[in-house]
Amino acid sequence: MKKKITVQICTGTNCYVFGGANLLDLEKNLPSEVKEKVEVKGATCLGFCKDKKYGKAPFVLVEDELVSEADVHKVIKKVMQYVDKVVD
Amino acid sequence: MVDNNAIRIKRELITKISQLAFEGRLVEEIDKVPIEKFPKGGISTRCCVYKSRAITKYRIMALLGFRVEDEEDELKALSEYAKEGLDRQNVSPHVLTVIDEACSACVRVNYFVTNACKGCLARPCVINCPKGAIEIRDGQAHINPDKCVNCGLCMKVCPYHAIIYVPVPCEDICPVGAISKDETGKEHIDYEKCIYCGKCMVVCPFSAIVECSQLIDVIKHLKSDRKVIALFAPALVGQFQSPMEKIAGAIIELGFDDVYEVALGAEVTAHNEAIEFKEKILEGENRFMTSSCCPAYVEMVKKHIPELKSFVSTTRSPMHYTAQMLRENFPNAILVFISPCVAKRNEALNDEYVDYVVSFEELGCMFIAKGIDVDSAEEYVPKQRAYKSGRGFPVIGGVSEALKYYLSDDDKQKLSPMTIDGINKKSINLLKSMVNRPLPNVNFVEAMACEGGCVGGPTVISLPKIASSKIKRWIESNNK
Ligand code: FES
Repeated sequence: MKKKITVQICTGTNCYVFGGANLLDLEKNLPSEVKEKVEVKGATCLGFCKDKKYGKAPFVLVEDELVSEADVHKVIKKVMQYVDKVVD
Repeated sequence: MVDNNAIRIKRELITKISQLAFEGRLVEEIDKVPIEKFPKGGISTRCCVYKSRAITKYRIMALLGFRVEDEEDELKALSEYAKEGLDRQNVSPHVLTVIDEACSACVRVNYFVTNACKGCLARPCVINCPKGAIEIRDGQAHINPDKCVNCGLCMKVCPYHAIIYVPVPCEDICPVGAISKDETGKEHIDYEKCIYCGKCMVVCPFSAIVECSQLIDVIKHLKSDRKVIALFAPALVGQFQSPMEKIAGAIIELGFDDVYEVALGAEVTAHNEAIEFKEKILEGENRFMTSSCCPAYVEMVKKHIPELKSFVSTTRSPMHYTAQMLRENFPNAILVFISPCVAKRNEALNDEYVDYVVSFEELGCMFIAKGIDVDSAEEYVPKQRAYKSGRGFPVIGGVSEALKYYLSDDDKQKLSPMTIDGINKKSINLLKSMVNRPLPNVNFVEAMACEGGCVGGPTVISLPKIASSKIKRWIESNNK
């Protein structure tokens, strides 16, 4: 059984206004061989925007790792670190 | 859309200013903001923190509603501008401003000799330059910016393709040639030509062109006892992932007393347009008619293709009809239009019923400033529900669709629409040519300055595609 890597894009207001909106077409930017191993979901406010210690919005969770000031490039980089670990 | 750092900085400032205004600390705190943003030893986005601070000051000036061009005393503190802004009774009459301090990085001359230049013997660039602007120094061609007139001949004749064209983004994108450099190399907007499409503002990589905001005026009224009503452009529904009722609820949480859909006015627009279409096209002499709801398009016709004016529908815009209805019912209320674009700001300044305009991104930043998360907001159902036809206006093709609702079955068959999906040099030429040579199979032209319609506006938050599909889902769920 393949386990997919979950990517949660925060679409809470803070994240969305600061660029979460642009991450919603993330899947389009994933390399095709990676696409099927990844599940991209939108999420309501993940709560990170409430505390400065987490950095700046937008926030994305790749599995349980936090990406702050996320952009397409940063998220893909993080996803790639996981790709190799996925058990086929 | 935040697809670059300049937009992030802009939105951080809008959020900060909103926060200070809501908390009543604007005058006290505002002078500190540029320093807090760029502290000593911190990271600067420019040559040094001092320049970053100076530019931030001008950005804030514009957010307070002032034009950077009007600065008389460089020592005048932001707190003084804030005080003036909070005291003013009338809305700031300006729409756009250029931060000259931020605008300077672009080339003065559009042609640039790269290292591929061999300093060849033939030197066609030197020989063909009509202004004698090119000389060979240290084995390479050099263009003298004082002599160059940007004709581009040198690029065409270079056998090595060593000379390239370097655009100035704002000049390049402006569809009507309204922005150009002065002697000092700073961009100036010619308001005789400007159509307020906002494309220069979006494209400038230094975010040197900004809107003169009405943010603090609106927040001042939200905190007062006056009744303040938000009327939102239907494109707003695509700007957040939550349902319309949640967005409306979040607007109420900001302190607005009520929320109305501008889609209501869009129904009036479509209704009137259908009558006019029947009279002028189906029963009259005119070959075609164009829509009139996009203010940048209307401004473009007025300033650049006056001969097309008689083809433009005389129907007023959805914003106008909605505000008129509200003004009749609430003569003393303050009416704030929630807008996807710059051109609506200009239209509102000249509209007898609309008091203020807040852009989509400003609204989003106001939510953040007040700690409101749209999805957690309590749902608010606007008292008057709009129909499908009006709600479809912000997505290209929506106006033509709406027209069909108001035409008889027979007349519907005779409607053959086309869309102008974005105003650019090419579509302007097409429209120009249509005055004398109407297209054979077109009797209605739906013209939108922004690609995709209002969902592609210059102050939107969502990707236009995502906004369009959200709006379509919203319309479908509303089976009227
Ligand atoms: S909005 Fe994304 S963490 Fe709160």
